[in-house]
Amino acid sequence: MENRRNFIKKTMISGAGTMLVPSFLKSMEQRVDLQSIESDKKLIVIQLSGGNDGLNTVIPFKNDFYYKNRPNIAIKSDEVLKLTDEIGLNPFLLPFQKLIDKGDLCIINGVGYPNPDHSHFRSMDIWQSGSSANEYWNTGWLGRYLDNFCSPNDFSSSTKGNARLAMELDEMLSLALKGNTIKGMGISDLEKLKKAVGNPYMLNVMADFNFEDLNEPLVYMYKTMQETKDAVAYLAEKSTKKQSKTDYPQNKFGKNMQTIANLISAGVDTKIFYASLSGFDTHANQNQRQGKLLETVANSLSALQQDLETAGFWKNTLVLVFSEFGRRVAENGASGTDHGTANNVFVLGGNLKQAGIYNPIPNLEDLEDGDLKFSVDFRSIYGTILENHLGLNQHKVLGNDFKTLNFI
Amino acid sequence: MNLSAIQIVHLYNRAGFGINIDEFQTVRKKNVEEIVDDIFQKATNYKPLAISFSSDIPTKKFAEMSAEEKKEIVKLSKEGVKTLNLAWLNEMSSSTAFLQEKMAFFWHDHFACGDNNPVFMTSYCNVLRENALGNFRNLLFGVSKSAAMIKYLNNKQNKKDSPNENFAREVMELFTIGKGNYTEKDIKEAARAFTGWSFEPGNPDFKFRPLLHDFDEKECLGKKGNFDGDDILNILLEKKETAKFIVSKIYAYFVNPTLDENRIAELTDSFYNSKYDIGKLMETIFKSAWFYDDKNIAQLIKSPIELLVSYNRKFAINYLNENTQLFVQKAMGQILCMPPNVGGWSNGVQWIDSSAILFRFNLPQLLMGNLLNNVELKESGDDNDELKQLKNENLKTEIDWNIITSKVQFEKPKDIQKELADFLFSKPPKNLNLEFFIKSTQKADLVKEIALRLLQLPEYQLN
Repeated sequence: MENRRNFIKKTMISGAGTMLVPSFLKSMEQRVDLQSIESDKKLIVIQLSGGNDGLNTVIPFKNDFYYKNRPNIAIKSDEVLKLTDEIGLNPFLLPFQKLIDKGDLCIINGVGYPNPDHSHFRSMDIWQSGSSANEYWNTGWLGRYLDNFCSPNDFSSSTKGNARLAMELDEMLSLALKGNTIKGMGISDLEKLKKAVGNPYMLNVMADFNFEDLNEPLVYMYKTMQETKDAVAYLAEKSTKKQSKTDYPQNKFGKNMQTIANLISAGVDTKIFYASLSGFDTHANQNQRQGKLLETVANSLSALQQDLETAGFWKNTLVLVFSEFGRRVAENGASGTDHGTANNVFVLGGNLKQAGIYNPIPNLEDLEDGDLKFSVDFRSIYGTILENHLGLNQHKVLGNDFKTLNFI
Repeated sequence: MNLSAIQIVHLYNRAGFGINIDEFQTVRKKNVEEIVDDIFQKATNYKPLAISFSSDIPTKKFAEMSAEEKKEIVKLSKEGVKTLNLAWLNEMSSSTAFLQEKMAFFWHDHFACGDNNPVFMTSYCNVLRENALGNFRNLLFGVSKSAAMIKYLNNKQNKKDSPNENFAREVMELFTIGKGNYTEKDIKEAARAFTGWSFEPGNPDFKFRPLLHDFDEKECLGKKGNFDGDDILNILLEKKETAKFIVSKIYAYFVNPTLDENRIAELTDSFYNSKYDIGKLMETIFKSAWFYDDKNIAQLIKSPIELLVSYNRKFAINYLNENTQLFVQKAMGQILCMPPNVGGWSNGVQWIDSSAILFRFNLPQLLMGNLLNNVELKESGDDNDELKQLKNENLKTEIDWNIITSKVQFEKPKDIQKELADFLFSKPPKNLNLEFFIKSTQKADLVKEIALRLLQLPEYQLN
C-alpha cells in the first residue's frame, strides 16, 4: 500500500509517468488522486513571533556554561521538566512533556539557515517564504504548496473556493500563505467576515460583473471577492456542526486553536491552518513573560490534540511550531535576551515516527559571534513535511531538494 | 494627437497618482504634447524634504550610550521616521511635481532601503527625489554612497580583512545588471572594491576609510585593475545590460507588466545612448502613441501608497488623526521608508488577497463615509515596532465636498455618476446601477455618496 501511494505520488509529480495521458484526463486524474490520497491530511503551523528564547524552552540543565551565561534568567535545574539526563523543558510546558510520553511530540534542535539575519522582519520573511538569506521571494512556501495542489483549472472555473484550502487565523494574510496564483485567506472572526461579505452593495457589484472580461487583474480581484464570499458561506455552515467542550486558554490564541479544532472536526476541506502568537521579543524581564506565553501555547495545543483525537483526526494532523530566530546564549543587562539565531522547532502529530528529542542541542561553547550554530536547515523540515505528510515533491515548492528528516 | 478621457486618466495614473476633477477639466482640450510638457514643467517644482529633528540627537555610537540615552534616542528616531513618512506622503498628495514624486517612489521600490535613523532616511529620500528624473548614473552613485544604504546592506562591515558581500551582490542583482549577468567571483571581487565605504554616526554623508580599503588588484566583469567602488559602478554602467534591466523594470511599472521585447530593445538603445537620461526616457514613453493603446491601459493594480495618494489628490482629504495614514499603510502592507527587504515591494496581483480586497472595498467608506473602523492589524513580533501602538484608530477625516460639487456640471444622479466616473476610471465599470444605494437629494451629498460608491469598486483599484 505504502509503495503504491509513493508510486502514484511520484508519477503524478514528475509528469514523466503521465506524459502519454491526454491533458484533460491528466487534470482529472491529478485532482482525484490528490483528493483520495492526501486530502485527509492537515497541517497546522504555529508562528511564535518575536523570537522565542529556545534555550529557556528546551533547557540543557546539566550545562555549566548555560548557567554561567544566564545568572539571572537560567531555569533552575530542579524546576526543569526532565526529558533526558541532560535536557528538559521549561516548567510551563507540562502538557508537552505528556505529549512526548504519548509519542506525539518531537523536538528538533539547532534549526536555522546559513548567514542568519537578526532582524525580525527579514528573518520572518525568510522563514515564511522558504528562501535563502540572500534571496528575496515574494511568495510563501505554503502558498506555493497551494499553487501545486490546485490545478489551474480549479482556479479558472472560478468559485470553487481555493482560498479556503489554507486559512490564517488573523485578519491579514501572511506571506507564508500567498502563492503565485492561489492565496489562502485570513479569518479572525467569522461573524465579522460574514457581515463584510454580506454587504448588499458588494453582492450587487459582484452579481453585475462579467467574469468573461479580458482584463486579468480585474477578474482576479472579482474572483478573490467571490471566493471569499463562498468560503465564508462554507465555513459558516460547517462551523455550526461541531462545538468543542474541551477547555482552552481564555485568550485569542486559545480561541484560535479551538476554532481550528472545531473546523477540522466538522470535516472541512481546509488543509493548512496558520496562527501566530506574539510577544516573544523578550529583551527585558524575560522569564515571566515567556513562561506565560509558553503556557498558552502548550495548553492550547494540548486541548486541540484532545479534541482532534476524540474526533478521529489527530492521526492525520501535523502541527509545526517555529519562531523566526532564537536568542543569544548570554543574557543582557535587563534580565532578558537579545536576538540570536539557531532555535528549536516543535512538531506534534498522531503519526510521528520519532518522539522526544530528535537531535542534540547545539554546542554552547562553540558560538559564532555569541550565537548558536545551526545544524538543521529549516527547509529540511519543510521538505520533510511536504514529502512525507502532504505528499508533494519538495522541489516544486522549495526549488531545491533538502535532506528529509525522519520525524514523520 | 488628442487623448480620450480614458487616455488622460491613464496618463495621470501612470505619470502620477491620478487626476482630479480640476486637472481633468483643464487638460481635456489640450493635445498630448502639451499635456506631457506641462507635467514635466511642473515636475521641476519639487522641494527637498526638510524634517526638523530634535536637535539633541546624540552623535556618539549607540553602543556607548547609557540605557536612558538609548531609550530616548529610539523614541526620537521612531517619531522622526514617522514624520518623514508623512512628510513625503504629503508631497505626493499635494505637490504639482507629481511626476517627480511618482518617479522617486518608483526608485524607492527599486533601491529599496529602510532604517530607523530619520536623518539617514531623509537624506536617502532626497537623493531619490532629487535625481528621480535626472541621470541614472548620479542616482546610482548617490544611493550607493548614502549612509542609509551603506548601513542597510552592511557595507560598514565590509573591510579589507573581512569583506562583506551584501552590497556588492545587491548592486548587481537588484540595482544594475540583474541576475545572470555576473558570477559569484565578480561579487567577491567587487566587494573588495567597496571596502572602506562607510559613514560616521549621526552623519548621513559618505565617508571613505582608506585604512579599511583593499587597494590591491581586482578582476571583475572581465576587467582588471586596482578598482575602487566608483570604478565598479562605472563598469556596471558601461554594460548595456544595465540599461536594459532598468528599462524593463520601468516598462513593467509604467506601461505594462507584460514586456514587449521590441519596444524594450528600442528604449534600451536610446536610454543607453543618452547616457542614462531618465527624464528623456519617460518623456519618450508618455509621448508615444503605443503608450495609449488599449492593451496598456488599466493593466496594473494600484499599490497601497498609490491608492491612498490618489484619494488625497482627488479629494484634498484633511486627516484629523495623524496616525490614520500610517494605519492605512500598515493595513494594506506598504509603508513608505519601510520596504520589506532590499528587493522592494511585490506589485500587481500580489497586493490582492481576501483580506486586502475587503479592506480596499471598505476603505473609502472608512476614510470618507460613515463606516467605523474595526480592522485589526497584524501583531508584529518586534517589541520595538514603531507602529505597534496603532490599534483601532479613528480614521475620520474632513473633506469639503462643496469644492468638488461646484465643479460638477450635472444635477441628476445618473449624470453625476457619469461625470465622476470620467475622471476616476481608466476602465469604467459597465452597467453599474447605483439607484438602490443612493439616498441623498442635495447635490453635495449626492456627489459624495456617488463618489464613495465608485471608489469602492475593484475597477478603481486598476491603474
